[in-house]
This record gives sequence, C-alpha cells and structure tokens, in this order.
Amino acid sequence: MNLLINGLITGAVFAIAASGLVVTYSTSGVFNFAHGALGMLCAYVYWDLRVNDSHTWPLLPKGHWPAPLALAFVLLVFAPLLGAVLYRVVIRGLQETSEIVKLVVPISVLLAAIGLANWIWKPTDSHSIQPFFGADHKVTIFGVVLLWHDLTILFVAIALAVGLRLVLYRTRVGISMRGVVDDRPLLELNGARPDRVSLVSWMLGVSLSALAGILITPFQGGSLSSTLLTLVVINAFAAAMFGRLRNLPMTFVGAIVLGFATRMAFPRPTGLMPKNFDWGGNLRLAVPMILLFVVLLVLPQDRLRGAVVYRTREHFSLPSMNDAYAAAAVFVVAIFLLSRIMAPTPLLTLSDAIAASIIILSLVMLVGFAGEVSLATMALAGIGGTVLYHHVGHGSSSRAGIMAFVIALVVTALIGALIALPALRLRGLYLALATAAFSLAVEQLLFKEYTEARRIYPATLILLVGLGLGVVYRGFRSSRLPGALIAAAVSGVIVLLAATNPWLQRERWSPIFPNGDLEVPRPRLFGIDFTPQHDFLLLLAVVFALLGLAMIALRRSAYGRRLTAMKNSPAACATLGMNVVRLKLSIFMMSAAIAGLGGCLFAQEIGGVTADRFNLFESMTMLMLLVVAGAGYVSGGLTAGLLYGAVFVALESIFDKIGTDYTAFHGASLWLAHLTALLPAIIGIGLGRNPSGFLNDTFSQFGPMIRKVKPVLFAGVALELLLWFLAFRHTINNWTFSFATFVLVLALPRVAAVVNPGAFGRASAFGDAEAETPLELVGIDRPFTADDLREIDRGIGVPADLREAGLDGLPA
Amino acid sequence: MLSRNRSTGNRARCASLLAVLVVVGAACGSGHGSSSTGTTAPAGASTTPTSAAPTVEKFGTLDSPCGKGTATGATAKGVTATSITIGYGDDAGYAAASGLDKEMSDAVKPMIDWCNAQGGINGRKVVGKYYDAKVLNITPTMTQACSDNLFMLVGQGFVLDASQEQTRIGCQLSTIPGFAVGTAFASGSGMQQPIPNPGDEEAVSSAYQIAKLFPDAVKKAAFAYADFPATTETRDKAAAGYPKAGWTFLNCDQHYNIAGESDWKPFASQLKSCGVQAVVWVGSPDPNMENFLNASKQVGFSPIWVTDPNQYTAAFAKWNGQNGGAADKVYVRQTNVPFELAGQVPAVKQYMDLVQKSHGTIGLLGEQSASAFLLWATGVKSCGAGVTAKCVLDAAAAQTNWTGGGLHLPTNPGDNTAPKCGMLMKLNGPTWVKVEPAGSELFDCKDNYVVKGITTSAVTAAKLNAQRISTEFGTYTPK
Repeated sequence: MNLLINGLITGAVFAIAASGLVVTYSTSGVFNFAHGALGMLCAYVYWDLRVNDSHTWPLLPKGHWPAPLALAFVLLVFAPLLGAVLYRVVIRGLQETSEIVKLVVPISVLLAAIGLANWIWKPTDSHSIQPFFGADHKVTIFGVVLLWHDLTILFVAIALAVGLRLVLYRTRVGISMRGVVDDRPLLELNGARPDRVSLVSWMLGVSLSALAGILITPFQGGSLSSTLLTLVVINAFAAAMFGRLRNLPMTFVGAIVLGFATRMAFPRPTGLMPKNFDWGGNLRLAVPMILLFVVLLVLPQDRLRGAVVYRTREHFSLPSMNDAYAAAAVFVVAIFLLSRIMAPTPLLTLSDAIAASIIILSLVMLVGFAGEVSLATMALAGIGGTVLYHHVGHGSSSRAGIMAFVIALVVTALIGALIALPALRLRGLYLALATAAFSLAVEQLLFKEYTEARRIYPATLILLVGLGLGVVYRGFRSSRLPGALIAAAVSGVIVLLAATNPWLQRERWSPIFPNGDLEVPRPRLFGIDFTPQHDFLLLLAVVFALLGLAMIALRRSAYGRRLTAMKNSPAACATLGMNVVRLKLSIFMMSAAIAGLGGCLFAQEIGGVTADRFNLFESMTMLMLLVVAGAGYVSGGLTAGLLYGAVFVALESIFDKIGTDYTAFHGASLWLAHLTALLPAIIGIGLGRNPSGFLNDTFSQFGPMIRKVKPVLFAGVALELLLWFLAFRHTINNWTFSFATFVLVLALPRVAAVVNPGAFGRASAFGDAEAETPLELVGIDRPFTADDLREIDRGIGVPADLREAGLDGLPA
Repeated sequence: MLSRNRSTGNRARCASLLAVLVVVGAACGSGHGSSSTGTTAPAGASTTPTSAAPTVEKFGTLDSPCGKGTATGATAKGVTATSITIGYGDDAGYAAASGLDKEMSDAVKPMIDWCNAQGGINGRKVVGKYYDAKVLNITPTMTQACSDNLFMLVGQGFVLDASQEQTRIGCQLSTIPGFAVGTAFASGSGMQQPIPNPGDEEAVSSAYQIAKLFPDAVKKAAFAYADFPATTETRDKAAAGYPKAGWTFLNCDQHYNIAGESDWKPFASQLKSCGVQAVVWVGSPDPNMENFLNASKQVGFSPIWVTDPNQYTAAFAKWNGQNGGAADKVYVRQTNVPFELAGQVPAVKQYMDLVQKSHGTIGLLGEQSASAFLLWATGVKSCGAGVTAKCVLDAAAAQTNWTGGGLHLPTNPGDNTAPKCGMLMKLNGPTWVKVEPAGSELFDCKDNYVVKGITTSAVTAAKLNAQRISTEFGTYTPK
C-alpha cells in the first residue's frame, strides 16, 4: 500500500514535470531541455517574493507575500513574461534550422539558466520553500502519512493531463498551437498568426515549468538548488517519451509507471528489492534512464525522410586536400613554436584545449559529416580513459604503450556500435535523448563503482547485455510492442536474477573505478616518453593534425559522399540501394573510437578520468560549442576545443588579474568574470542567427587572401615569425606577442583587400550589402535595380522593349 | 580547462559535492593535543591588540611572531633582504559555489597586513600572492604557483588538493595549509597542518560524547552518506572508529545521490523501519540534509543526528529557525572555537575583528587559515635571518600544544595525528549551542578519542611509508 500510494505521488511529480515538456514540444516543435532550469528560476523568484524579505526586485513590494499572491504573480506574470522574452529573443530564430541547432539552443538556455541562478542566488545560502498549507497539515491514508501538498500535486497532475488535452484538442488556440508545428505556412494561409501562437505556447510552457518548480521543490524537501529540478525533469523524459512527446494522457500513464519503477528499486520495505541489494543504489538512479532507453526501443521506426521539409540555412564548404595538408603543417609548426615561448600555465591550458579538440573531432564526424547526433561523447571518452587505465595500471613509472591505445580504441568502437543500434532507427531528438540516457547511465553505473563495497560492475555488464539483446531483438523484429516488451521483460528478468545471485555479489570483482579518480599515465610511444608537457602538447598537435587530415580525406572519398547523401536524404539513399544501416553503424563506431582516443589523451592531459569531467553536461557544452564554431569543419572542432579548453579560461584569468591588480575595478571585473561564465551559453543562444557557425564567415575572409594575395600572406607570416622571435628572446613579453598576433590576424584580410580588391569578388565578407541577395528576397532586402527588373522580365517572358516603353506595369 | 568549470551543470552538481569535500577536509581537520587535560577558556584575558597598541602585540594567548628586525639576505626561494613572498588561496572562483572557502583567503589577507603593520617578520615584509583554484583548475593553479618563486604556500585550502600533489612535489613547494582533503596531501611531503587530519586516523570524540548522552540510541545507529568517493571514505573511517565508542550499526546504511534526490522520504522510511535511533550523516547541509530532515519529519522519523563541522553554518541555523526546529537534534563535532564563544576567547574575537575590518567573510575555515599563518609566522621568526622552508616546517613540527593563540583545540602538528579533543554543539532553533563538555571547558580530551591505523582504499592508494608519509606522488626533503 505504501508503495502504491507513494508510487502514485512520485508519478504525479513526474507527470507535472513531463506535461510541460510535452506542451512545449507539441506546440513549438522544440524539445525544451531547459524546462527544469526555467522552472527552477521561477521557483527562486517565488522564494524571493514569499520568503526573502530583502529581495531586490525593482517595483515589487518587499516583505513576505501571501502564497496565492506570490503564486499568481509568478505563474501569471513573471513566467509568461520570461517565456515571451525567450521566444522573441531566442526561439524564434530557430525556424528553418536543422534538428541539431534546435537541440543545442535549449541546452544553451539550460546552461545559462543554471549559471544565472548561481550568480543571483548564492548557492552557499539556504533557500527553502514551505509546502502549501504548511508542513503540519497531514492526512493518513491506509497508514501512509501524506501532506496536503502531496495531494495537491496529485490533483494538479490529473488536472493538467485532462485540462491540457482539452485545451490542445478542443479549443481554437490549442488547435492552432499544434498546427504551428505541423505546417506553419498552411496555418498562415488559414488566417492564423503562427508567430503569436508560438509566443502564447512558450508563455504557457514556461508557466507550466514554474508550476512544476513551485510544486516539486517542497516535495523534495523545500531547499532549492540550481540543478535539482533539472534532475527531475531529465528523469521525466522517459514519461514524456511514453506519450511520444505529444500525447498527454499517455505521458501521465508513463509518469505513473516511472514513479512505481523508481520506488520499486528501493530495498524492502519501501521498495521491492532485497534488503542487501547494495549496488541497486546506483541502479535506482539509473532506472529512469533505462526506462527511457527501453521506451525509445518501443518507438516505431522513424520514417525515412526525404529532402528536409524546410531549406536549412547551414552550409559547409569542403577544403581541398592540398589546403588540408598545408593547414595541418602550419598548425603543427605553430604549436611547436608557441610551445617554445609559452609560460607553463598557458601551456597547460593550450594542451587541454587541443586534447578536447580531439574528442570534439568525433562529433565533427558524427554531426558535421553524417548529420547524426550524440550526447554521449564524454561518456565514451571516459570509457576510453578507463580502459587505458586498466590496461596500463598506474604509478609514477608506468607509461601507456601503443597496445593500450589500440585496446581502448577497440572497446570504445564496440560500445559505439551498441549505441548505434538504436540509432539505426532513431534520428535527431530521439537519438539525442537515447545517447543522453546512455551517458547518464554510464555516470551512475560505471563512474560510481569506486569502492570495494560497491560491486556494480557485473550488474552493469549484465544490464548492458540485456539491453543489447533487447536492441538486437527489436532490430530483427519490426513488430512494435511485443518485441520491445519481450526485450524489456528479458532485461528485467536478467537484472532481477543478477540482483539475487550471490555469485555476482561476491568480492571477486575489483572495482572498475577505484577511488573515483583514475590517474592515467602519459604515453611512451616509439621509445619517446611524452611525460614532459612540451612533448605531450606536440604529440597532441600531431595526433589532431593526422586525425583531421584523415577525416578530410574520408569526407572527400566515396564513403564521405555517401555520408553527405545520408545526411541530406536517407530516403533517397535507401531508394538508390545504399546500405544506410551499415553506413550508420560504421560512422558511429569510428566516431566512438575517436572519442575514446581523445578521452585517453584528455585524461592523460588533465591527469585522470573523473566523473566530474566526463559527464553529460560536458558533452552538451562540447556539442554546443562545436555547432557554434561550425560542425562541418575540422577547424570547427579545433575552434570548439579552444573555446572549451582555453578561451574562457583565459578571459576569466584576465578579468581576475585586472580585479586583483586594480582594486578599483574589482566589482566590474567580478561581474565580467560571472558573465564569462555565462558566455558559452550566450554564444549558443546566439546560434539561431547563424546556424553554420561563425567559422564560415571568418574563413570566407582568409580564403581569397591565401589563394590570391600571396605577397600580403608572406608578409604576414614573416611579421608573425619576427614577433615570435622577439618573444622567444624575451624582447617583448607574451602579452604583447598575443596582442600583436591578434591584431595582425584581424588586419591581414583587410590589408589584402586594399592591395588587391579584385581577389575578394563581389561577395566579400566586408560588404555583406553587396553580397548576392537570393532572387526571392530582392525588393525586400534591397530595392529593385534595373538589372533585377530585366531579370524578371526575362523570367516571365516580357520582351525588354515593352518595359522600356513603360507598358509592363512595373515601376520604372 | 575552464569551460569544464564553465559548464554550469557540472558546476552545480559539484556545488553540493564540494561542500561535502570540505567536510572531509576542513571539518575532519582536527588536531590532537599531547596534553590530555582540557583547555579552559582563559577567563578574563582581555587582549584587544588591534585597537590599542599594547607594548607586546599578541594574538589571543600567542605572542605575536611579527615585528621589526634586521634580517638580510636571500636565504631561500621567495626570500629577499626585505621581503618574504608566500602564496595563499581558495576555490572562490568556482561558479557552482561562488565564493567557496573564501573565508580562508579573507583570513590570510588581514593577517598579513596585521603582521606587516608590526614591521613584518624579523624585519622582512610578508608579500602575499593569491591563487584561485576554482576547484577543477587545480593543476594549472599549482603549476603557476610553482613558477612564481614562492617561499611557501600558507593557509590555503584547495578542495581537490590530491590532484595538486604531482605538481607540488615536483617543484618542492612546501606548505602549511589551512586544510588538507586528499590523503596523499594530508600525509604528503613538505607540509604541516595546524590541525592534522591524516587518512589513517579517525577523531571519534563526538562518538564518545553522544554515547555518553544517548547510551541506548547509539546501539541502533546507521549511516546516511553521499554517493561519492570522498564521502564514502569518511563513512568507512567512521564505521571503523565509532564501534570503539560503543556504537552498534544496524545493517541499514543509506547512500543517496550527492547531486540530490527527487524524494527523500523512502530513505527516512527505510531508517525508520530498521528502528534506527542515531544517524551519522555524511554530506552537505544545503540542500541535502535540510531536505532529508524535512522528509524525516514528514514520515515521523526523529533520531539523533551526528555530523561533521561543515554543518556549522549560519545558513543552516537560519533554516532551522524557519523550519520549526527540524534540525534541533543535529549534533556537530567541533575542532575550532565557534563564534558564539568570541566573548570568552580573545583570539576568536581578534580574528573576527581583523576579518570584519577588511570586509571579509568569517568562518571556521578562516580560523584554520589564521592558525596556519600564525604557525608559519612563528616558525619564520624562530628561524631568524637564515630562514628556509625546512627550518619553518621543523619549527612547526616542534610545536606540541598548538592552538593558534586559542582559535582551536590543542594539536601536535609534527606527529600528524588526529585530535584527542572535541567539542559537541547542537542547534537550538536558529542558534548553535555548546553541549559537551558541559561547563566552562571548551574541549575535552581523552587518549581514546583517536582511533589509529585505519585502512581505507584511499589510504591504500596513498601508499604511506614507515613515517606515514604518502609516497603516491613521490617524496622530497625540504631544503
């Protein structure tokens, strides 16, 4: 009875969290990863009004607001306003962008919201919300003590499931909300205003997240933290997936199932598991993820897409092999020269960045080349590092040999294949969720296996095998429900057997993640010990350059063209008899292997594998930065790595330094340092404006210069070498060197444009106004010219002389 | 490296995590007095050295090590004829918990000024360089410190200090830190702590004190600990030590997600159904313990709670006031003199005045940093003109009854042993009150308050040698 009632309440919590997700998805087509984080922000605002007597909101009266008033303000004023701002500033730009951008931008909003909350409401203070009706209003139902608040949650959950369903299907605004997602232009033709409808649905969505935040926080105990709610909402993904992100009543059912499942994973008497079921502690946390994985298996095969419905605005050009060789050589030489003049600390930062770039290359391959997506990059990287550790062992004298790397590569490639199996059927959002689930499961099951007492390794293996079997079975049988149910049942039975099997709990397995921090030794390859930082950095640079070359070669090969074809139209590929399945499997394996290699090197660079640095949030950040930098380029991978590992660090150190050196600027520099913390998220949010990443623009400046204005290029290189020499001799310091280099790089294309204006053509990056305007936008983006009119005349077959005689009715 | 810290989710997750780590470091930091008598608050002592200028400057009961002098010569790295450059720092830049352990540098800064106002040490001015490791940025921070020509690191507290050891030992940068977290550092070469917390020993004063107060409840005890290596190790150490004080643990331990649980009631129900009457909580107060306490209240579970000094925060007390005394049965082990007793202990008052005058944050860890600075400065003074890191560390190790002028219980830094003394506090509505020892004594000390020779996987990994020094990242002899 206890289990039944509490499971129901827990289910209601998940239902509230999931229903908001479903509403935003079904009314805007964007899966709002930030749902929990927005709810958290609103809950903090509620706390400010209700509890904090010294809040600093302008215009709002201070003191403790009564609960209904504070609730009404947050739900009806603040949250809708936040939703409206969010839609206007961020979400609207997402129309006609690819799935990946739609995925990445809400992740940026999530990161920004958490950063903002930590900035405004100091995490070291306690912020707690009392339950509605207070903590003393209790009822006892069948021996289970419930707060009135718990009953409120149950009631609200049911009301939401029914009410929202009615709103979406029975009211005019609800129907147009759904219409916006299905066919925007059609809705427009029918006289609706899609923009306004989307606006309303985002206002509603954020209100729902606020409701979730304010209701769920007291259920969790009342003390707010910036991530707690996000955690619940991520767990609720599985519930939302039950209703395929559209069906609210099914979502409710899914939430109840989820509630029971998480409750059952507790030991008796609260749950159903045996009393000494210790590794279940981790399994319990992984339950929602496993459920999500299973539900995704149940989902029917994604229909093969034809051409993308909307013309996406992304565009990647492909470098020639010769350019690639040259760039790789320049890169390695530049890193070598830099490493000679850099101080130890920046050297470390640069090495971090290049090691991260190698991991990000795996995403370039997957996202940029093949149009797939993965949020499990760092999980795979962590697995790579872990395998390397277990092969080499640790100690100050041990070094990783080539075999260790090979084994790590093979293992991660195989695991990549396991992830790819569901990917064969899923795309875009579903794939992202599946990989996110995998990543979280790795965090809970692998990275937490750190003491002798917590032997989850065998359980993890069995679980993986169970899921793998399920996936394979599901792959062979295209039947929907029975196959998946059998798969789920089989893995469930295996897990239960494992839980009760004494052999698996015997102390025969040493932990796979001892002490939570694996010190991974640096490599010794071809007789060279790469322990010194300079040498290791050079190794990283060479590995990056070689991998980059190999990837460009791959992209230029027939295989690469098949990838592009698959990215653009899987349906067309299948029609032409291409084996899409094999292609996907191979690209996932290759990408996983690169992630594994990168993970080994990254772990060697930062000292080891820790759960803190190989988690889902890091994968999200990497993916976001890559998309910002330009997912289709190897150089985009490098830029993302530099952003990830170095640029923000450097910026923050500069602000820190200013703050410490000049106390007058302390406040300002602290503010800027906080802002830097939000910068990655802000950049990601700006992505809607330029979905191809900023590299596209940047390169369009350098390309012509390198090709056509050689004297300027050579002069620039000579000048840079001179600067380097001066820095090497300590004639100028490194700050001057960096600054001069920065100026030089910015100035060169402009100098080149002056020297040889012809090289840049009409579509130069300096004159966007002159750039070719697509024909359909002529007259909108710029006025008609005589040329345009002639063109139109030609197009519609009006003889030129007619127009000149003023007989065509067009403006002269 | 930054964006690792930048990635906010991770940050936030670590927010709770690091609070926990600080438990292990700061909180477990406790010292051991070779004297087995209690320390009594020096009643009637009225030193207010900051305001007036007394003839002999003091810090609490300690004669000030600072003053004019005639020392000359660059006798060691970071030492010139007129100055000594030291590093200090914390993790304040960690965005998930902005200002983390800021009280440590907030203590060292005014201590340096206080010292220089008296003329430096032996006439050499103390120059402080601040380092912010931002938790995860520890390796570059230590690399920077190594290349900055420092004499020593003093009073710093970096949560991930085990990760610094490779670099620190590589450049032989000796230190008297405010706290040590990782066993490799807590037992590392070239370091002395004002309040040692070696990984192979456990201070169990609170276990004895609680057993005295609640002899029946401790027969039905269980752990609730965060699912994290450092907290698991703390739990393992306590599990080895507490039974010596008469505790019996029912087989009912709960480990929870360090990032937070969506529902705490099942844990409370579990403990309740086991018949647990005393819970040893390992983790942070906000939000995890607060939420656990509320859940326990809801399911009608009301045991004794025993925790570490990291729960001694003003925020937790305020929360208890707002939540109807939900934490009134929470007992905290103390190694430092709490601020409620500033009226009785001049050193605490002096520390608070100094920090408040420089607009800093006051905290227990700040007391530890101040004590570390005093321990260091006292060593530097005794070494005279020819000061070296080895001489300062030896002088620190020679202290057998170190209290930082009265900031904390007496310790014996040279032995690197856990403290034989302890104070027990509890929450009473929105205020902290001292429970044990009753009377005017601050701490009570007994030889059996220390359990030695504990082996956990972290101790094994640290590879202690015969002198109980960690060899995991090598060793060195300070020069």
